[in-house]
Amino acid sequence: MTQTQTQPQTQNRPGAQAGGAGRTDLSKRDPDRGGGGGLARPSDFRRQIDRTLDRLMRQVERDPIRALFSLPQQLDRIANWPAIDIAEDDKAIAVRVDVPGMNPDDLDIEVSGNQLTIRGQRQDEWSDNQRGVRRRERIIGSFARTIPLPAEADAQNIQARYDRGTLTLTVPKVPGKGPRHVKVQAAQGTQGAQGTQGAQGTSR
Amino acid sequence: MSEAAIQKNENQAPAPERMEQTTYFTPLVDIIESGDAFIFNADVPGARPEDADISYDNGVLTLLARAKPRQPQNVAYLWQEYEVGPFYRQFVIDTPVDPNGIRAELRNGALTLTVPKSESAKTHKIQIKGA
Repeated sequence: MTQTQTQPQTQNRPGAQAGGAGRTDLSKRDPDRGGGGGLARPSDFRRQIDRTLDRLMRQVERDPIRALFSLPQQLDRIANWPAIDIAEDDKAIAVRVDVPGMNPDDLDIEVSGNQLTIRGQRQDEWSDNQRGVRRRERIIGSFARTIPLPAEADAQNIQARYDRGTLTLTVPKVPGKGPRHVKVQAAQGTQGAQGTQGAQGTSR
Repeated sequence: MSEAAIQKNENQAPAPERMEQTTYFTPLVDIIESGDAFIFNADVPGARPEDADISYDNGVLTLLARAKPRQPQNVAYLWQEYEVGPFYRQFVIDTPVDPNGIRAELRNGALTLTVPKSESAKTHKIQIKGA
């Protein structure tokens, strides 16, 4: 599942994203990630798909239509796990990631060039087919998500905080390092004549 | 609690979202049954213990947890995945349980509920006498 396919369901706002110069494509994938989505290992991803299909089959028996329509969202939840929000103001960019039930020590935040990568591993002691296990829906396994940072981001001073299952990264902005605008000078004598020049160019 | 019991609950899941014009989110839940208790593990990121409302009434266990928005209000979003709202889910437990013994713990956005079975429903080991 690619990012573009999942966009309609995820409330992304491509408009806001395209609004500023220098905003990089936030959907860029971590190259060393397997499987697709935030779950780093194909086996983790596969297990989660199995769980989702299990759940879907239960829903199909009750309400097939609703189950069918909920499938994209359910798959999306896996493909984009953990969920990320990114917001900005004049001073900083705030990245918030929902990674409930984790130990802060199991979270690893790495900045390399303009790439900010959040990695982690969520474990628990229950395996799917263990005796007494009635439901397994929660997403576990190792995950990685990468966010490109804009040029004005101050990568040296990123702060990370983990509270109520949400990881908050504050990336300060360096004033003056933002996108610059270069004024385009019109060459003398070409104004108003582009149309004819273009036509001449193609006829040659 | 049988698989059928869990399904039954989702059949009769009420639709409070229509009445209150609020969107509720279904938390992902793991359920583990041991000899003397059920353990529910639910992901409710963004919720604090005081935001959670757990109740058990006549065989129906209700989880409700209100989550704070991830970002402050009126910020300019560059990217947004999923909305934040209250988590809500109900389960019907057809095994007799001890309502007074239900314990809930909410740590780092993960809710753990321990629902002890009532004395009659607990697994009892039977001693076998040798001849």
